[in-house]
Amino acid sequence: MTAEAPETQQPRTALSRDLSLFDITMVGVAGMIGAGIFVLTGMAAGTAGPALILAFALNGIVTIFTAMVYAELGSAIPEAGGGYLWVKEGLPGGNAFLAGWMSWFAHAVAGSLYALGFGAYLELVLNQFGISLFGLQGDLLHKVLAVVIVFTFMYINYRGASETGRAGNIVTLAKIAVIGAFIAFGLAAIFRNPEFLSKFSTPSFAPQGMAGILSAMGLTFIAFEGYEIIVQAGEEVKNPRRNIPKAVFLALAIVIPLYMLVAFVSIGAVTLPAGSAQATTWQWLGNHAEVGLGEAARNFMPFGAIIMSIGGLLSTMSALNATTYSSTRVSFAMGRDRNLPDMFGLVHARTRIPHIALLLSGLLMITMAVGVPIKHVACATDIMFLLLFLQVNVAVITIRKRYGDKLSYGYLTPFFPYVPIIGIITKLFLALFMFHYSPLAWYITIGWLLAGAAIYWLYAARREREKEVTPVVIEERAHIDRERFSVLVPVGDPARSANLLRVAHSILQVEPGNLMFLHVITVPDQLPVSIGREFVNEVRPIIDQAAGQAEEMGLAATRLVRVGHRTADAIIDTVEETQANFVVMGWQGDVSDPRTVIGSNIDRIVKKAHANVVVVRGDVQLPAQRILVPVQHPQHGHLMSHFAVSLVRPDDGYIQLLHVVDPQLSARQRADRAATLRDSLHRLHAQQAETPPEQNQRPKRRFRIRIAGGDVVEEIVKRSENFDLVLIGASRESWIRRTLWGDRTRQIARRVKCPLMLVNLRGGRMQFGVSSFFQFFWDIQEGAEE
Amino acid sequence: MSMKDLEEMGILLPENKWGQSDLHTSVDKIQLVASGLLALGAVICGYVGNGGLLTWVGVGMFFIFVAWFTRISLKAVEVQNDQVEDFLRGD
Repeated sequence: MTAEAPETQQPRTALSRDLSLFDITMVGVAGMIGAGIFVLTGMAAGTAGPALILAFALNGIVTIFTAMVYAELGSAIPEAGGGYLWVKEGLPGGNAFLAGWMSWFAHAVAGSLYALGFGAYLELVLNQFGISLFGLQGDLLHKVLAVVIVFTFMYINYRGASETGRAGNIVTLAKIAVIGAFIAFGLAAIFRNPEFLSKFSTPSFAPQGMAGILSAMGLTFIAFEGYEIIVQAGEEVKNPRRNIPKAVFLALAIVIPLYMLVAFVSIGAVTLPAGSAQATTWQWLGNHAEVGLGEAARNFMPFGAIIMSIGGLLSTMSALNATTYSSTRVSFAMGRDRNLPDMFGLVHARTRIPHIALLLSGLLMITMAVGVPIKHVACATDIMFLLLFLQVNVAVITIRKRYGDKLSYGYLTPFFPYVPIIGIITKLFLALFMFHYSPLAWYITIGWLLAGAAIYWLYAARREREKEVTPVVIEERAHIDRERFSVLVPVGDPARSANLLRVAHSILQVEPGNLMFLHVITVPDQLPVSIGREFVNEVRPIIDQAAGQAEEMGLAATRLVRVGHRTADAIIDTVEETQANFVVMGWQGDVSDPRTVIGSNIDRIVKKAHANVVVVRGDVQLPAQRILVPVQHPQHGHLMSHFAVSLVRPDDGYIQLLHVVDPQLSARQRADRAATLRDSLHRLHAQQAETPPEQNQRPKRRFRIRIAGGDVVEEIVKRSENFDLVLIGASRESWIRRTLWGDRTRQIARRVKCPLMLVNLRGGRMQFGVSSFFQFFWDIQEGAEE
Repeated sequence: MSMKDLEEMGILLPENKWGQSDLHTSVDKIQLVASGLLALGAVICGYVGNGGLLTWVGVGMFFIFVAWFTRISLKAVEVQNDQVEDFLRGD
């Protein structure tokens, strides 16, 4: 027995946190520099006039009050759900239902706004190229395109793809670049024209007074709500207590000045076209409404209309994707909490997507996009978000009172509770003021709230009570000794775990330590990782079976279940947390993605995990009698060799180190290579000299060095026919992806018939095999040079 | 959500730490008030300036406010987290 028994036989579960401070800041920026600024700037300029700059500044101030609250709660309760979750926690009765109900509507209707914005920007692009779609134009065309794009993103979300991680960051940076170019060209145009200041005072800075500024604030408030998206992703953030509040503040620090600059150049840089019906630039922008920014760019920027249209299309599409995702997530969460019918909480068996919630959210978006003018759609969205933030400001007070001393906060709101109270007052004032601008938006809001109240009293309240008497209890914990050598075995398919276990067993016989089994529950990007906890009981047999097999071999294993969006990241996280020395993984052997060497998951693990990685293909019988180890760089032969020692049969087994050279190489050069390889093995002798004698208890094994001339792949494939196992890999110096595991690896893996192991040895913490290897170096028998 | 939910999420402090944490903000209140006054002044200048020089002074002041506020807040996050880590290590 080589591993200590764990403290408990229950698997430990953990969630994978993937998002860094940069990632989560970009999530927030993406949520803000989205369609809001592209679609609403024109309309808002038409309302506030040049004082749009001031409207953005004031919105920034109003936002900061609630942002501080979000930073506090996001750092202390970093779970998916954000505002809805906190209202549910902090406020009684139907508040949580209403928060979720409003949040669902707000996100879905924001999607309608973005879909309509997409339609408007696409029309702008089509007009650039003189393309007409069935003679449609204006609002009708926007609505048709909105419906098409909503269905498209419903399908994309259904398939499980979403804008996340690096791809999302690239899109966000592209949007910032487009806005940055707009500002740069705008500033250049402004400073070429010394009369530009007059545009900000004609007829006055705020032609409609404070009413115009407040209307513009309400209209554009949606462009400031990105911190809601930051906390929505709370449970996927690394070190959330520190990174969530920082991301909230950094995101605002990026977008507030950008918005003000956009307003400045939109008004200051535009030169009114000859014969324009409008007397001022802000009126001209207002006249162009949702494509005002695109038209402004056309006015002063080379290829401006095209560049801004691309920016607008990118922004509206990514924002629509995000809102499709978030509205689905909120309605799904409400279904799961039994606040909405169970069908909202259904997850598709294959894609694990909440398909009903997705379908109904999409239909809500389409209804609003088709049935309501864009201005009122924007206002309705803003009112809903304002009311939701109002509730969160109330909830933070009760949560601090109820749980404050039991939570660890990464940020505490100053001047508490006055800051949230100011947040409540400002949000309420702005929401009420929107009636002045769009009574229709308020009627829609009231209708939605009344419908929600009716559903709550007639349905959800009763179901909530039923839920409270259905407890779910899973207690999982495990002990891992991080000081000991350890081998991590990710298991997915129980049928393959025995094979991996044999390899792990061989390693642990040489270097006693911990054995850990890991099963990863993958959750689609559209769902919070916490949903994976629901599958723990389903996967338990898989990991229990592996642990049972280990027990039969005299090994006690720690069992881990991890939930994450990506298998590779979950394994990498586990390696970091447990400080595992080895990862032993299975591989089916075929690579369908040409961009990867042996599959995206394994490639990523090999690259990122700070551990030795062994990837096993085929049914390996260990210990093996004949092991073939191709060595690309003779000087590194010892690394692979001392790993091979653990796998070879003690009495009659042997390991052949095969170095394939150019057939044109002279006999002397070949002899030099053989000597280098031999020297590499001798280096272990020196290491071994310091190893205590009691560790050198392994029976003798024989090494053979063979230098062969010819094609690397052909030689390895040909020679592998006489072996029970082939080990291919690379030392730390010759990176696996660039060398052996490149195309050659793929060819070898496809053509070699016998079991195969791909090995990436990092050295460092690995003390593995050195002690046992030494005894055999004098047994080296050189094969005949060919 | 209940206390039990928070416990299951692993969010709550260990029970022996309840009631011991310091709920005073680590935000520098003097600087915060000063930056707030700057923001207020910026907005007033922006409006009163009516598109003239004072408006642009106000806009400039507002940019300074945003940078200042962000610095104060980020520093507060660092200090708060250091305090929490010290508090958690103290068991």
